[in-house]
Amino acid sequence: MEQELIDLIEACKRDDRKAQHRLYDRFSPFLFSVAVRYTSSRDDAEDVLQDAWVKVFRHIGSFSRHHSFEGWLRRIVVNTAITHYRRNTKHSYHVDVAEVQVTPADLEAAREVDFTRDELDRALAIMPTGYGQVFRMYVIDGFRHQEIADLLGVDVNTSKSQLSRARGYLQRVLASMSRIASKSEDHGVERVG
Amino acid sequence: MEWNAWDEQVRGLYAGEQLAPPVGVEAAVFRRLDRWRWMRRLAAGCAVGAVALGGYVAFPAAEEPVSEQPVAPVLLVSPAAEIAEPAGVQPQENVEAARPEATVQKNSVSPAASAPEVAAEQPVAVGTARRIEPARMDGLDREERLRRSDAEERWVLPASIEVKD
Repeated sequence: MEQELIDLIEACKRDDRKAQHRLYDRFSPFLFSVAVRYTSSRDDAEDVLQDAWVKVFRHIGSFSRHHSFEGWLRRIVVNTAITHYRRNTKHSYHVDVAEVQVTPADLEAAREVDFTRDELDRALAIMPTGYGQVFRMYVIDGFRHQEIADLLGVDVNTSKSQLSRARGYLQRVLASMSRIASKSEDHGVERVG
Repeated sequence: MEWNAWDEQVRGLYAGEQLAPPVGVEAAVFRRLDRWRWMRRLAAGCAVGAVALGGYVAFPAAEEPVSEQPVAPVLLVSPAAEIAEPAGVQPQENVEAARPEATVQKNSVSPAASAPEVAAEQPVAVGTARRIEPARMDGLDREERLRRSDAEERWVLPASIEVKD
């Protein structure tokens, strides 16, 4: 960890208001992007960001410099987003029952599908919440299955099976998006011809 | 393509992503922090107040059993009980109602002390001008009574000798 960041964190531990503003300015864009991924609207993401920063400043005294500060912040935001989701939906985390029927051949074919960020976002948006949370935490944010299990309050094996289903679901959706795109391109060529 | 490679491809799409948060969020965060600090200070103040109040309430309560050892019975045993009794009882009630420090000092008087000593020391223990005043009056009375009792002794001793004879 760079010395400047260490000094900034130490100043925040001493409740230095200027240092807190500097820390906020430095990490808020990153944290807001994480919050947006785990919420369904920007308003919710703002609420999550607010709650997360209050938690950060309250508990920064417990942060050890031997760990990744960015990872610590990311964990707080994800945890806050999950809490926010549970509070708003008035139910605890559960495994989504929407089973995805994907054959191995489909998956093999789908793995080769090229996709853009926009397509991935659209696929994630329509994915069942349980799959989506595990997928984002594991694949995008680099959490381990044990961490995911702790944060979501599920078994490690549940986390693994959710991830597997999430991958299959995404592959299928991305493949269908690709097919639709190629068909519309074909139509476009026919029209031109 | 392996899953790890596919995961890497996905992760690469989100790597280094940054989104500027709305302007109002920062102000809201620090407003909440200020409120939290204020609440924390208030809670700390309440805790200190509660401890102080608890100590104030507990201290006399702990001393009460000790103060139940009356000074007045000691005075009654002594020959000068009639003299010391008004001065002994009245300040004791006042002292218990007034201040715990006075009770402690008063109780420090040993039961073995003679009545004149107790009668002379108690007003000092009370520690206020109002309570010293009756003690001085009692002191004057005691001297007169002692003088009278001395006179009685002169008459009584010869009488007992007469009975023996």
